[in-house]
Amino acid sequence: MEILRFAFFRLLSMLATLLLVSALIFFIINLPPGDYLSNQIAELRATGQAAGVANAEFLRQEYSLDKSLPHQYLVWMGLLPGSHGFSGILQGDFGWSFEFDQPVADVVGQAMWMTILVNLVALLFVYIVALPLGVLAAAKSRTWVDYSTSLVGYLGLATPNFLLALILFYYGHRLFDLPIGGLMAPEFEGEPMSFAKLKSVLLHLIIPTFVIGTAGAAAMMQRLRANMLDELHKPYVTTAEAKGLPARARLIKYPLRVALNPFVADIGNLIPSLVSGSVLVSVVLGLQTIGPALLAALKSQDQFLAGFVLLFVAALTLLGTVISDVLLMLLDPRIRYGARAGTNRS
Amino acid sequence: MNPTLTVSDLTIAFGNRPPVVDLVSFSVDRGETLALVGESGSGKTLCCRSVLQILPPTAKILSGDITFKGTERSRSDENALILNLAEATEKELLKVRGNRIAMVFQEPMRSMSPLHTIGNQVSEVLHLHSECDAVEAKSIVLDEFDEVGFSDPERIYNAYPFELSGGMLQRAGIAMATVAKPDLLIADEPTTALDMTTQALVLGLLKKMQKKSAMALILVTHDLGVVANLADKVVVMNRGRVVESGTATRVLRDPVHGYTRMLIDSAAHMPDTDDSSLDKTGADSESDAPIMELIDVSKTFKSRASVPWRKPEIIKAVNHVDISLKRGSTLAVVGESGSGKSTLGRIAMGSIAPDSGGRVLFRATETSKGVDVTDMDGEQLSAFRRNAQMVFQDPRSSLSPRMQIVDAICEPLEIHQLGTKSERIDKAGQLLERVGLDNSMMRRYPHAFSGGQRQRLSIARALALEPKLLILDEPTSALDVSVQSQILDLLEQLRDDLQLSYMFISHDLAVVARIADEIAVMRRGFIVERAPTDLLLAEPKHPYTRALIAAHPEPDINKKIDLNAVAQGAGEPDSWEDAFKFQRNEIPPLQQYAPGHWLRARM
Repeated sequence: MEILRFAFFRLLSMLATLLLVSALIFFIINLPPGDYLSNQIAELRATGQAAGVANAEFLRQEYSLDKSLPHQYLVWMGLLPGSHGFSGILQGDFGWSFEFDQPVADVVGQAMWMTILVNLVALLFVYIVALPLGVLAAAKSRTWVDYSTSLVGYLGLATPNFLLALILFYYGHRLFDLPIGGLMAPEFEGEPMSFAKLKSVLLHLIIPTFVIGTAGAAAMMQRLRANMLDELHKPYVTTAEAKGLPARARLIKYPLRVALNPFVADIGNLIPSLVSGSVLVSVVLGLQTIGPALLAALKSQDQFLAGFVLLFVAALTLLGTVISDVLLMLLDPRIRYGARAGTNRS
Repeated sequence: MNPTLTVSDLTIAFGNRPPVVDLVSFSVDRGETLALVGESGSGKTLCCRSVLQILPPTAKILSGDITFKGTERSRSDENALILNLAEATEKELLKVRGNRIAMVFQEPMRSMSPLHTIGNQVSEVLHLHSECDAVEAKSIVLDEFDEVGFSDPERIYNAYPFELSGGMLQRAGIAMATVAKPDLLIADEPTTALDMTTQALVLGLLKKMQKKSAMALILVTHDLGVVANLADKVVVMNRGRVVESGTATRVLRDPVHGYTRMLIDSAAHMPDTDDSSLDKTGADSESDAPIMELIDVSKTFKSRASVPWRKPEIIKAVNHVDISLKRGSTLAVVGESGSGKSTLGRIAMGSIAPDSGGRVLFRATETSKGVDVTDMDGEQLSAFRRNAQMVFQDPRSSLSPRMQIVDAICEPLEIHQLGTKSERIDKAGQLLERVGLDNSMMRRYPHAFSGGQRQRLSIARALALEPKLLILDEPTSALDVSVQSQILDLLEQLRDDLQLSYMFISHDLAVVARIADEIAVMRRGFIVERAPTDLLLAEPKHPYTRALIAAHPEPDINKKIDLNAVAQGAGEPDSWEDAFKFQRNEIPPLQQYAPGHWLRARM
């Protein structure tokens, strides 16, 4: 029960943080002078299209862009009534994208799920690759196993993502007939989910996962190796040895178990770097994630779209830290039973 | 008949360097206790680890045999197991480790995994070495827990290491080692990390466990007092060689080798109280204004709860302490870990503030007015810092490894802008000579010095500003016995030459006995007894003080620890006799029992 209470509390504090983040995002987006509409109006005036100007002025009022910045923020969040009453993020209305001339929800709707999918798969990839390699490198430290895993790791860290993407596409296509670009074959776009579509998505995911996850996996592997090396020579490992526990069982039961804590705590750090890394990679690889939309929105000062995308990414990140905190509590009795210590002593 | 373990001509070296264990031989048989005695760097720990073949990876056995003879356990192994451990295969070793030969380690807290329950870690031994199922294993472990003195074995089984005190963990560590009924138990400094009274009780437990199963016991220790209490045979090691060996009685009574004699002489003795040459200096010289007075000092710590809805834990580290330190004298504060003694030292230094209401008065000279350390302006603070300095326990971590000695010693002078650069360097040279070092060592870095030399450096640094008061927080606890006694000599000499006043914080009554004029004994943040040293040692009234005195292991085979006296006073404050008992809401007051002798009791 304790764990549920803890999770609930962390979710509450996450929502409070998210609120703070939303304000920051909104004000930072609005820091550059002008906005999408004022830019457009200036352009229309210059070319003498009066009708367009009127339309743009109408939009300005419609979205309260003529009001003060704090007011605009509160309307965007749905805390103050706009021209159509309370209608903002809190009510599920994500606003209007001027750039795409569509509601934001329509622009990013499917991309949101694809973003979650791509990043989740990349996260799994990071952990699945880093765990065995990190443990192996630590257990065989200063041997060729350690050196070669480190070499692969550093190569992964040092290679620019888009370069890796191009190389993998080329050879992936030539040798394994892997598809190039996109997240699914074009004929499935907009289609309802089916087995064939799922298969197509998974095939398309192989290379992006490699590209997005490699750097993270390499860094994670090095951290796990370092943590393991710290633990390997602790007295409790010697105790286990003196008990007659065989080497491999010893390694897995004790040092790995302890080194796993920072490994899990890293989820919170890993998600933001994966998400921000995947934005650019998505543009290069032509993935229909939220990345390309964000880039376009930032370039044209399409504030509601940019604001929503950033808020979404922030929410993912915060959710990651909540998950890692809850997992840590499950993993580490020192956090779980911290209070029991006082009563049990003596 | 072979003895249980015979080590002959064992030589161990790190890489290609000269051997750190050189042609060492000893043997131990069933029911026998062998003590391997030596100071740090003597190779005693490597010797005992080589028995289980758990040496550090770079250490190699160059030569020698380690012959182990196990007893028959069942009809099936008719032949007793005889194995040369130095040449055994990993597979053979796995069957011996934890099963035939078990080990108890020095630091109980670090020797158990923090993330597994005690029960899991102890029953693991049975899962590895016997065919019993989980239920049987648990019941065997619970029996063993009962045997090592846990009143609630089930709770300990499910507890995690961080939930137990060091003494309880070491009991669990002993249970872990003995649960598989080994033929040989190796205990590597099993009580060094424990408090005095806990040490006495754990030693008693080791003896009891050994008697019960008649196993052989190898006790690795630096403390001849421990040897006198437990060992039948002694091997004294110095720099990797055996300098003397024989029965404990013979070695302790008529040591042949100079090194053994030196060890015995420098061991801290509880002064003899039989020849009552008491000069009760307690009540005189009250007229002098004390250099420091702590008046009604308390300190409450609030620990942040790990989850937000829990109440933060409130710890009263120090409770209403009143003490005064006479000019030119030494006041010792003695207590176990968690007694609040170090907190008290920090309060006296002004580095943490006491709870409101408490006052710390400092008088720089006899005539000057007392300044409240907790409430000073910048100028007063700067003057106070020049007058009061601190020396810490661990000389390894209290000197910056990146600063030359001369810089470390001159730093306080620079901070207070005293003298020119060349004057400061001259001063540093004088200080080094004062603490018994050569001033040609000035340009070296701390790593070039031994533990004792580094503690001398710390003292030189503390003396740089010519303070009047030194607060010494366990200044000798991290040092070898022989070095410890030299540092105490130095401190005594400095006090007399420079008219210093000391507040000496220690867990060891025997160490402070020789240097202190007055002793305050603390338990759970309260002073339970305070008296001039001679009086306190001759007529201890409080059960806890008595336990502390009784718990000190004397390097004398005829003075064994009185475990009853220890057990009576070392328990919880609510288990003390009625007159001394702490009750939930009522704690007896500290009252003057005799002139200068204060006692926390109902009278």
